[in-house]
Amino acid sequence: MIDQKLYQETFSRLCASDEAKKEVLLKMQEKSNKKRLPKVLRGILIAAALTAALAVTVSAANTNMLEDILLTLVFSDGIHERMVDEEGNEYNFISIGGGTEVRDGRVIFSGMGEELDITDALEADGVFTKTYDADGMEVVVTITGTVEEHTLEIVTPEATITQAYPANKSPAAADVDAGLVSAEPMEGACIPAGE
Amino acid sequence: MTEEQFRETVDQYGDMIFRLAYSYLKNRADAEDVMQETLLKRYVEQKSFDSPEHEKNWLLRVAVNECRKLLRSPWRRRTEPLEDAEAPSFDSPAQSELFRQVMALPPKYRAAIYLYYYEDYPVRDIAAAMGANPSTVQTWLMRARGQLQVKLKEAESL
Repeated sequence: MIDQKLYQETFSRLCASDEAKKEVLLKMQEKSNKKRLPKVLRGILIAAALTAALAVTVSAANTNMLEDILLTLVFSDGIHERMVDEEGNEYNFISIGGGTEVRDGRVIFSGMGEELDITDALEADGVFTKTYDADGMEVVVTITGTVEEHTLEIVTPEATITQAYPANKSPAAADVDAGLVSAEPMEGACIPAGE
Repeated sequence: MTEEQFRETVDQYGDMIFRLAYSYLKNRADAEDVMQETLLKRYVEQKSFDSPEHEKNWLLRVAVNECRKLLRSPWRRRTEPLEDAEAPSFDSPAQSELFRQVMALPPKYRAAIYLYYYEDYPVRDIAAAMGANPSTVQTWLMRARGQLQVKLKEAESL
């Protein structure tokens, strides 16, 4: 008979290398990235009012080939967000932020992890603009109008998102150039992270 | 399966799959390929399992299939695997001799021995993992034990 203890001690010396284990994790990430949203959907995606416990339904309104995907937020650091669908596929997004609001007569833009008082720019030029670098992706934020009534436009290589203030001035809170109209008031917009 | 869950799966089952594949293929690089391929299948297929044992059985079955696929490949059939330059070092001559003699057995015997003596698998489960009849597995184990007994005694007497 084989001495089982001796066999186990002997063969416990056989271990896969750390390099092989790291490599399989990288391969998994490659496969994971391939599962990102199809480009057509990535370009028109908007998620509304994200909170840690919130499940968000994302609709691709202008395409028949994609059905609604239920995404659940599993990670957020304020800018980067990771969501999973019902099958466990992961989607990475960059969160633009909360848009504009008026506080004590001042227009505050919240987004990309910061808050800016843009009142002076709007009063002087009728426009405020700022360009952000979001993990190598250019995000241009432009707000035009007055303190009382203005429009926020966020342009990325994949999507253009507009939001009117006050929200009820617009037929929908958020429009995207590819045609999606979000049914919910947009408190935050998420764009898929670039590859 | 999330990335985090996949990491846990790699930690939990990576070495097990590697040991089985190494037992089968007697080659570190091939065994690592099988380990990776098996784990990636686990990730891609997103299967749900009734229990950890169910998942483990599935992984072992996939690993055995991957080993067979590799053994059947025309490239591998035309080439003799190199002796493993990175064979593990052992604490005692007994371990070293056991390893040498086990690895001298036919691939199916080595895999069955691994599942039986290392993973504590019953014959029925080994048969399921290896796609064989339980009676066949019983025969493999019996022959492997017999051959090992002879070889180890010979080595002792030297």
